[in-house]
Amino acid sequence: MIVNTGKMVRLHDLINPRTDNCLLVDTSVTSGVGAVEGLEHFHDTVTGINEICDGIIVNPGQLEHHAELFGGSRRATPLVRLDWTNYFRKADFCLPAKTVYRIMISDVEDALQLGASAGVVRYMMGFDDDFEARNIESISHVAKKAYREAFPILVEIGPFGYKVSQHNLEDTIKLGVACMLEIGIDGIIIPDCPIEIMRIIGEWTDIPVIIRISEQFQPKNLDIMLNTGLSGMLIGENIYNTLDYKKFIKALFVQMHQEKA
Amino acid sequence: MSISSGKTVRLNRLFNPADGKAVCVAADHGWMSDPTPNVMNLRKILEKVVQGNPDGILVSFGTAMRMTDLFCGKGSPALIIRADWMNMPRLGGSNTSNILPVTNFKKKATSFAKDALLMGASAITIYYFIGYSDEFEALNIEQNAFFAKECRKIGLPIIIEPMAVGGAVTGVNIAETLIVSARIAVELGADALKIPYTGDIKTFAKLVDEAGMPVLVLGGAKSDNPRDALELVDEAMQAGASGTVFGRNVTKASDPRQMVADIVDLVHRGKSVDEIVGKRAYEHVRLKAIPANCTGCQICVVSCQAKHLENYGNSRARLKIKIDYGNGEPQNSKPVVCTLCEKCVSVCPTAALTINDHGYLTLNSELCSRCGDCVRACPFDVIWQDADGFPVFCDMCQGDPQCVRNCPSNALELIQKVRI
Repeated sequence: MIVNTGKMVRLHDLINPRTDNCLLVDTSVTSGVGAVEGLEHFHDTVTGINEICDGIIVNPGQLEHHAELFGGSRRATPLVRLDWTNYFRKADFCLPAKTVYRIMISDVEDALQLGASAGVVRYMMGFDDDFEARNIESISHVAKKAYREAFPILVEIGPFGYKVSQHNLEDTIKLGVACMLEIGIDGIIIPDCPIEIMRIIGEWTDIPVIIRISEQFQPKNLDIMLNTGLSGMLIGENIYNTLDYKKFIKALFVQMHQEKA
Repeated sequence: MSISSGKTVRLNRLFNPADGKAVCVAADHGWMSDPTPNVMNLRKILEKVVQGNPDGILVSFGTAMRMTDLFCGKGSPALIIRADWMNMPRLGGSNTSNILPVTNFKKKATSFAKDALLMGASAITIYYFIGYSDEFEALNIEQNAFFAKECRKIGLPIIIEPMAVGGAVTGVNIAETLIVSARIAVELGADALKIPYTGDIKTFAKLVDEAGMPVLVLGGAKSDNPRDALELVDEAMQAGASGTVFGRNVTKASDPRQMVADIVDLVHRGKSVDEIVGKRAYEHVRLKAIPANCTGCQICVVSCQAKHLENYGNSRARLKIKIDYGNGEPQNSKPVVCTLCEKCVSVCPTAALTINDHGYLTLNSELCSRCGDCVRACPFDVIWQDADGFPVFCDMCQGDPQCVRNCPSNALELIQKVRI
């Protein structure tokens, strides 16, 4: 029995109910580092991709100003990025981050008012204990508010901190998934990881799990990845500086929702 | 006279009104420690837990959201929501067994009481840490007072969980610290307490007496054997406790349903540990086939399938009848049964398959890698894998084998098993 109809309807704005899969695209990194190559003109970029993916993660300001790009039966649904971080200001950035921060820039009510189908927040792992505790607290309260408002929340696991190494990366992802399941969110975005880890997570979880694909991703592996029980893929900001990104996204979209092709 | 009918009604859901006692299970560990098998298999485990008829289950908000079905209906356990988060299990700079060890003790309020009420909860539980530092205790007091006030307002019972941890707590003062913390929790507004056992009946009785509110004893880390855990419950009940909130002793048990049922027997039915542990009539026995008596009627096979799968047939039984065909005609038949040779146990790479205290094969599905080694090792071919890959084997019907009971020709019998 579906108890929370609002969440279910909104969640299926981004997850195609016929295939139970979704292809999401992220444009939100710009809130931390400004316009990245290929995303200088938000309107133009989104116009080119908003019919070849299921959802687009956007910052609240861009959604407010470009709402006409979203909605409708054929176009992507907007997911609002509810938090901000300076983590992506690396050494080659004009003002590299000395201390990593993560703060909330929007909330559930705001996102609903903007017409979003879901909100996305980060669970940034491996930093100091205070940082983690505040992150847990913040996501918990977003989840409760979202429950009351019937608004789906997706959490992106970010094993970014100094405590994470190649040695414990996979376990850290699993730890992140465990924490988020208990907090009560509606979907999880995990970083790219070995197929075996995807399979463990896919079999374990009973909410949609979406993988943020890395630059090493091969489209031929799509079916294998989806067969692990995952619900979809998220394409990150690195895609926009490639010449044929629209072609790449479209090919994945068609492959994922084959009956649409 | 009850002042808040909301609290009264909800407490009555949790504490059996007939005896004022409650058997609860804590399954809220998933976001405070590593993703251990009992965390990753939580639904399967809780489905078994529910079969043991607990009065309540303590879970996180997320688990409540995803496993609502377990809490629906009059006979189902009351939902208790954990309203805070802490990182204590990951604490300790040298504790490298954790995936991400932490060095600073943190605790955060992660829900409002009204969120739990919205979920249909009958109570919330929050920690009260005492002994770590004065500042940390003050933070705990502040949070508890806030929750207590909110719970009073909305008629939701609040269970406070005092925990004596930190450098200031020693073996000498831990009992007294728990007694004091229990009373402080009640002063703040606790409707019930979830608290560790002090270690002896006398001090725990003092705790219960001075608290003046229902006290539920918690189990802590998993005991080496179920009897230890049951004896702790027994002592706490003798001291006046109102029941239990056991977590890992149940969720990590080889048979969570049985563990809950045993605690229910202790708490609600007043049985002794000896009565419970000794109630299984057939200890350390095994099946013995007597081929000379076998008529090949297959009733044993059908009984096995009926017992375990609740349908009739012979394709999924845990024993079989081997029929010798001489000259194309059936000549003689014999039952092939598990002899508890333990070859499957010895090849199991994860120690998931073991012989339990009662001498039966038992599977810890959390550990099972579903490799099928046990199936291949079985010399009698009476182990098979189910659709999920888990081995299915003779469990002696928990002491009352239906094949023996129903065999019309006494071709099967129970004999004493001698372990070498």
